[in-house]
Amino acid sequence: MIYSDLILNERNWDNLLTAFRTGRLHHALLFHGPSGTGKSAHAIELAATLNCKDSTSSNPCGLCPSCKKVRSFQHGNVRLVLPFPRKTNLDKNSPSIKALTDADLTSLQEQMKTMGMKPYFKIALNNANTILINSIRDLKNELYLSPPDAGGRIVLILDAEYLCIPNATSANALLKILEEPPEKTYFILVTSRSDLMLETILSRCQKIYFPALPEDAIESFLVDEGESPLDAHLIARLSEGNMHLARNFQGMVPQLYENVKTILNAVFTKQPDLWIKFHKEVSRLKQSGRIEMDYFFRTGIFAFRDLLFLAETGNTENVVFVDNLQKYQSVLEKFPQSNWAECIQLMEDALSFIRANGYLPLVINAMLMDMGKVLKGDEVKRFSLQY
Amino acid sequence: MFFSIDKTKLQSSLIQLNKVIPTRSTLPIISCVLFDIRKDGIELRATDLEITLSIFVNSEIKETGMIAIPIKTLLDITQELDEGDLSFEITDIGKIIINTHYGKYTIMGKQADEFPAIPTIDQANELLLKSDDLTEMIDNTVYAVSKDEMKPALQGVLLQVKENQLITVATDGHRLVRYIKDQAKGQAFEGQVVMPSKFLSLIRNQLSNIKDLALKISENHVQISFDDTTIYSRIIKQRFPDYESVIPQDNDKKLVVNKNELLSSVKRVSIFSNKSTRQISLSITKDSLTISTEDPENITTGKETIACVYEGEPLLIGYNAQYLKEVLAHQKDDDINVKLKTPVSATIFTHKTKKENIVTLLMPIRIND
Repeated sequence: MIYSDLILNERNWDNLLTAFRTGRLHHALLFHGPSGTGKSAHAIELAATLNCKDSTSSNPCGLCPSCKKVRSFQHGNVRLVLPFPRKTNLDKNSPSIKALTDADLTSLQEQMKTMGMKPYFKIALNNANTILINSIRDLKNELYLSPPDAGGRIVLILDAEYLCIPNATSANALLKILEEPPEKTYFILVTSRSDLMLETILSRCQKIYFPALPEDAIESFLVDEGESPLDAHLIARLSEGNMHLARNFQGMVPQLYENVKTILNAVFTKQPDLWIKFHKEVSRLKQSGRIEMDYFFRTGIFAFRDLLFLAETGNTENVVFVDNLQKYQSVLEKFPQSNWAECIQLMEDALSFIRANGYLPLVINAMLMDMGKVLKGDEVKRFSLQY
Repeated sequence: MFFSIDKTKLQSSLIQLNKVIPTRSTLPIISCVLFDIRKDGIELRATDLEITLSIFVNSEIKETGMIAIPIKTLLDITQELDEGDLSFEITDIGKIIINTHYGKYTIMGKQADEFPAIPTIDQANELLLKSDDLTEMIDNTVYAVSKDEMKPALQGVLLQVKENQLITVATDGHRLVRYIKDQAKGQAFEGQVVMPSKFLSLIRNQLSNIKDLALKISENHVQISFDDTTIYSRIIKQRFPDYESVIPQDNDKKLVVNKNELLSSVKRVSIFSNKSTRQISLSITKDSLTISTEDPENITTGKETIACVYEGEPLLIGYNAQYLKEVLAHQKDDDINVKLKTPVSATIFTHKTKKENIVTLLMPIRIND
């Protein structure tokens, strides 16, 4: 195999191999499902299988020159298509690579190298917000030529929902060749947001669903990577089957506990300095990036989930932040009337409002005040985003 | 690995190879030249995955092996060095040490097994060609190749060998050129292949000092070899349209006109044509040909009349000036033979000698009332 540490989805992999061996592999596959489940890595494994020179095994050997080239994305038969930054002055006949600055190109080459080594690495370029129509034009020019090597040609379209974002030009340009690709050419579209894709694209593909990874699989993966069992357990719980998240949380456990402390202190005490600290932290995270802010709120949501479990079942087994057990017990005693599910909902709402560019101080204050009411058992009027 | 190579030979080879290497790519390996160091010399190879260029250079070899070296650095340093031999030492970790009398330079190479494999031309059919003939074939057809990615088959030139004739055809849907050469006797290849125009343009520049060459055609690649150079190209795997059926046989109106006069008139008049439509019209009567254009948007007009010999009813026909200029520029006769039918049917330009037969088809554009 190309990746020794990939958590293989046995069912999907066996089906793909059987289809390949019997000559029934569909020419357009859609690997969909939640983020961080190894969809791209499975696609790369399939690309290697189609081109592997070692015929003794059904899986790719990972050692032959062809497998090595697939791993480093240097194989002529493997073509990668991914979102690029939109460049307004890119003319019709320019190759898509012109949309990248030198820094972007270096970053892409580095990330491709990393992706060849780490199965759950996700390539992300700055301001990459669409799959350019120029990329589709490049692809067509390439595919209508004879194959560079023997074996099967694979077109791997990562974050395929960006074919349809901000408009469906690229998706429409792809339709004809997706429906009738040249001989021995296979498209693999990888997406975690198939709901954003055109029906005309979806209907041309065989859909293969990759469910969230089991928590224990993520836990043992993290332990193998050198994480302590306790931290690995916490991260596995927090990541909810998403290996991208799990990898991002690696080494962050003390910070995660600190986040929980900041959130709970702001909610359970009415000290202005703790509210200000909370404000400052969210404001800082919003500026540093959406993902960091998501992580912060995610830890808060999980802390309230812990409280909900404890309040409803009294069982400590499902608690994520186990070091907070003592604090949770005292909070539960102090606020016996609290509606913890409502607290989770209020945090999720606040996150949605901030993502939608809501006025940060107002959103945070409203959330904290509403939580104060909910802790006493009062009902609050909730607002929802309407577009 | 150790080898030494003449700086001038290396530099001229690198300049050739650099023409193939794309300026930017997501694949770092293809910005390198592969050095295949053999007992008798070094094969230098570069590729953009569509075209592979290989040049063999005789040099003094102490140890064989393979290494990929970034071309830019190598080209830059060779340009700054004096004539003489350069000695290369390659360590086990791929570090390349270049020794010159000025000093010592080091650069990191890449593993040769990452470099794209050389195309395999198995069960190839060989086509023996004279360099001049190939030059003619390329010059007379490549200009008509389509640039539209929606028509992949038209992005190349069709090469067909049938009934002892060598036929090359290019079209972009607006014009079509069919070039026939009567000299395909005894060729091993009989069939057809669509070659990318990029490949033909590349070999065109290298044909000046060569007499005979062999074009090998396999299922997926074409290969051409001359001197120490071999060029491989992938072929366009699309069905070329049935060009014979679009060449009209019943154009009954005949026009003979001086090529240079018409071309210069068209060039002058077209300056005043509409920038997007490029429309000009030709009003043809028995002994005169009036070229005119009108652009109501910019209130410009142009009109010239030249002499001609015309057989048929007077005709008013419109063309895209750009296409007409290109077609005229590629006509070989001083007095060109044109066959017409109606203002909406294709115009045919013909040139026929014992050895070659060129038919150029140009579609007219409908003239606005």
